Amino acid sequence: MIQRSALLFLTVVAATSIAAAPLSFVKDIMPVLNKEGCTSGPCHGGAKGKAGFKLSLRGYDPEFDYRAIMHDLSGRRFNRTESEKSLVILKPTMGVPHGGGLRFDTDSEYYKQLLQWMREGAVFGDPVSATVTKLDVEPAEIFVPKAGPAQKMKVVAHFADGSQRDVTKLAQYNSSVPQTAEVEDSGEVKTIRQGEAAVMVRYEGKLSVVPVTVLAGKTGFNWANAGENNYIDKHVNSKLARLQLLPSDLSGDAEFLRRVSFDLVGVPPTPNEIRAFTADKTETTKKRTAMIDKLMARPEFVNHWSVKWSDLLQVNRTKLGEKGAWAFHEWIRDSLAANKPYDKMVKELLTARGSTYQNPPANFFRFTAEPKVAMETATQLFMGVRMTCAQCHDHPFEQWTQNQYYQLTAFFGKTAVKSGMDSEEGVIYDKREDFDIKHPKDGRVMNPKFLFANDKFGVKDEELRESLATWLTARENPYFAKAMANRLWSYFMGKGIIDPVDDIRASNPPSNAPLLEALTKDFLEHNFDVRHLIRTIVNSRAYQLSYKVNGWNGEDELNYSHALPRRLSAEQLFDAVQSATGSKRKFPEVPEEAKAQDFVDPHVAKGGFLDLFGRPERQTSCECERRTDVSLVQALNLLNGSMIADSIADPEGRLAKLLVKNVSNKELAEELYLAGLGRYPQASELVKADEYLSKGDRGERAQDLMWALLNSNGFLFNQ
Amino acid sequence: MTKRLAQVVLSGWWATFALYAQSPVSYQKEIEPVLKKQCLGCHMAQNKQGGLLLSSYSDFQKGGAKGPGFTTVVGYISGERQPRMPFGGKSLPDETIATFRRWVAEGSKDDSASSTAEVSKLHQPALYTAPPLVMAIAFSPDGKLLAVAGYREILLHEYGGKLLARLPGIAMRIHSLAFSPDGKRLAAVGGDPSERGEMQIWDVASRRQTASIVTSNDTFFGVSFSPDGTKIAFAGADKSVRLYDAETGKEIRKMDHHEEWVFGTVFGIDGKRLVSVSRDRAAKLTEVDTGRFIENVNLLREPLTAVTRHPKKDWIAVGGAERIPYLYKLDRPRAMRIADDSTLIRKFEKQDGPILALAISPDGQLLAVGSEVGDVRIYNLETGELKGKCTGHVGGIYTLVFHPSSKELLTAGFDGMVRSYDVSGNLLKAFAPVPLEKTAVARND
Repeated sequence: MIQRSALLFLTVVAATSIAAAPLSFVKDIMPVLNKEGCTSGPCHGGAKGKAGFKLSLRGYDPEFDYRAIMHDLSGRRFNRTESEKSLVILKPTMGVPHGGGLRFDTDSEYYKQLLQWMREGAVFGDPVSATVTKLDVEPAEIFVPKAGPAQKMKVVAHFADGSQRDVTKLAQYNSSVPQTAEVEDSGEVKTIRQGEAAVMVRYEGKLSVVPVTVLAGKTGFNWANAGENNYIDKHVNSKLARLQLLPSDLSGDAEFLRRVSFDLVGVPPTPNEIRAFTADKTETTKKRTAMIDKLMARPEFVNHWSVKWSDLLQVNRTKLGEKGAWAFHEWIRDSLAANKPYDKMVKELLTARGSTYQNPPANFFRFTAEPKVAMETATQLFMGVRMTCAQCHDHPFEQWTQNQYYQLTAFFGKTAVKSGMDSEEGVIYDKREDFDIKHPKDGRVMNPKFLFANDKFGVKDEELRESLATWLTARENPYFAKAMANRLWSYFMGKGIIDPVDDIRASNPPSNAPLLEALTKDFLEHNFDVRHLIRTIVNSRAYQLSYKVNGWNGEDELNYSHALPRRLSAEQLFDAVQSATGSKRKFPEVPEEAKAQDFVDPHVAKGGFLDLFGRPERQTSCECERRTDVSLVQALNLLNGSMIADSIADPEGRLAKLLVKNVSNKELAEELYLAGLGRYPQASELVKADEYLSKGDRGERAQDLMWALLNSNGFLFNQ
Repeated sequence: MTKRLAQVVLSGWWATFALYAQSPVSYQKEIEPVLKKQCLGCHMAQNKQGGLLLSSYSDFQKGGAKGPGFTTVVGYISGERQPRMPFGGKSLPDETIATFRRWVAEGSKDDSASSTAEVSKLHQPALYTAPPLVMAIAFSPDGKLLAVAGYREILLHEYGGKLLARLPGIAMRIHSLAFSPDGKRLAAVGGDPSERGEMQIWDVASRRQTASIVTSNDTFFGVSFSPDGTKIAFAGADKSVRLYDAETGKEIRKMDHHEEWVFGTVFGIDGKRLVSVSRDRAAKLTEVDTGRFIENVNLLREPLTAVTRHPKKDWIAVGGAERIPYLYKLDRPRAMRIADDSTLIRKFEKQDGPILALAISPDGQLLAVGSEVGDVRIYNLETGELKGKCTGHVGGIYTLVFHPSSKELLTAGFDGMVRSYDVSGNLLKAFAPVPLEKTAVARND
């Protein structure tokens, strides 16, 4: 309203001098402020601005920015009498000292543009004419056979009023992997070395991504199609062939068995299982498929996957109460055991009401506790979309706005927790009053509205969460099935096709879009059958490749040309030590036969080995909370700590039992290699072991051998 | 062969000649502009990185923590010393570095012209092709004179009549104007943003400037006279509050109690206390005779930009970013406690934009509030009841003043017009306070 009248008034002022349409703030000036970094986070776009001058972050709120420039501090920054003396033009040209330095000089185009805008009346302009509907970027993709050549991009913006403009100079660029491809402010892309990168092109809230591929530039590449077990391999191989990456060989049976056992049941195979599997003469693919089915039928499959889900759903007695944690854990286990369709499971979580004891999925609102957190958790966990930034400002890179943040939160506005009969029991109920979600800027009541597809999905006021759950878990939701398919893939392959897995956005493109599409489609066709998708992934040749690289894929970390060794999780490692040594660790509140994968929450065995190796506290639903790094303290613990040493020396353990049997040195070594590393020792290793065991106290030396094996990467990693 | 040799000899000679023929490097034309463009962002008074200030020849000469200015700076811009300057930016071109070296070799002379010529040029009245932003207006105590802030000048109008005089000064922007209680003096403060501040005192009858104090590195705001007319207080972007002798134009005291820019000052009824409001959210009460900080009048909420006092009581109205005007009394009814707001008399309704101007009518009945979005509202000060809304502005309201009769309210701001309203908010008249040029051709050259 005010803006419009300002426009009228100022156009009259300007009309005497300039006949053509005057430059407008929103269309002509805002992009300059964005391009020159004025509105960036470290400068005036920061939460507190800079040196008393605040602009909206990356210019998401042009009205605010216009007011800041024209009116803040009694119009300090604008001089209508002598435009060139305006602070807003003196500062960036260093006509007066500017903490941000020289942004552009008085002979630059930006200077002339800014000056012309002010002389023409400094109008705000019509927001519609400045709304970008589409960015056309040429070339749409950059693919070079070797590093070196530079390519100039051309960016054309299409506006809501139908006009278009070449904005190559004003667009902002950045590269996801500058080591592979650098991009200049001018839009020129320089290829530096072999690899892939995505160049993000941004202009006034619209984003376009240009994939860049740089081949090694080596000659002599010969693609040899090693075969396909299923559709996954078709997509993986097609990318590998294009990038001139030669996949590793198929893993050996022992390597495969150890990997697939850790991945499906969380524990390593026993020496006898390895012996039987490697001796089996059935055709490899068939044999492996049979093993996969066998492993998935084991109870540990449910135990192992319930750890994952308990992490994501924050099963933790400090938040849920002890009984609540147990109930929720049981519900997760039951859902996994029954292979409950994923959409059904999520729907149950999102719509649960009542007692957290009687109706365990209601614990979702126990740990999220308030509407904003519930919304942020639901979107990040089930859609891989991070809404957090939009709480305070429109998302700088993405489409999500601050309005949408609160509109989506409004679905949880009525949801609240009260105490039940038991002091630790929570009861989830719908509030009858005081449930409005308000916009923080002006206190407007925000009505529930989906992020997209509002025409298709209705909002029932009495069943807000049901409405939300229907929309969120719908097949039409392009995020829901995809996020889960990508998440599952990452668990087995060590890296998401979109990575991090819970950060799906246009500026974080998938490394293999057709593959992700195919997985998503398969998941949907099988009605959100998680086991089906798992089975498909582990049956693929891509999953079964060796971790050993060849001359053509050593650099690759993105395209699944070889297995990526992953450090064992805290629980896997703990259980692997127990399995290898045959030693049982005892904890006060768990049964003796329990494995770490059975522990209900981080309260069990707190402050010990498991926490050191990254078991999460379960305070967030972010995958990132579980640490998978390798640290010095961990290494010291394995080398000198009691966990390994005591387990090896356990008089009830594997080694003690072996030593009293009459076995040869070589048989002893073979057993220890199979138990620890999941493979047979090589001939040279056998010779060395035999020599070592013969030259002194055999019992002590056998312990040394096992200690050395358990301290090797072959033990610590799932590779 | 010989030809080429001759060419070589010739070019060598020419180069030597050119070197000798070069005129000495000019500090004003070749050195200072580079410092200003490339260095001042970090080496200005507000930042002063490495203790080095480069805003004047003498500061440059003095240098900073790393040594005397000239040679040290050459060392840093050439990369002989690390980190290379400009820090984090592109290195200066080789020619520029060579020019610096040559200037030092030639004895690093200062050839800047004296600034008097520039100042005298500034005293020419401005030509207005468009109305300026009007940041301040003030009535003489008898209501006959209206002073309006212009561009590098103050325009003195006979209220309701003609333009009497144009009082040119140095400051590009006059942020605040105040007549002394006896009407004999007019004080003005302002300056050039990010460059300097100025305080001017004028003898109203003779239209002569009796003082021009140019100081600080940014503008001044919120000037006020003590009730006895002997002192002038004003606030600054340098976080200070300054107290001057109105007669002699000499500084009495500079007070640095605020943590942020200070926008307004007002004396208490007896002239013994002074209130200043700042972006640091505080309305600070200080003792005039000693400069001692007494206490914060208000409970800190959001940045404050405006303050005004009741004509007969020690009551002040304050407002700012929170958009809510508050009425406070200076005397706290009890000892101060944590989060104490016992001085609060009344909270008014929230405005549509951040508050930039406040005025209380001389009869103490009304409060006028002006905001950044052109919203002006008049309230009954005692009851908080809304009496009127003044409409018709385009852009922000920067200044408000009641006529001494308390029957009229004058507003001005972004759109450059002065408007007069009755106290119910009816527009009485509107006028451009500056002589506007008929054509705007000058802007196209």
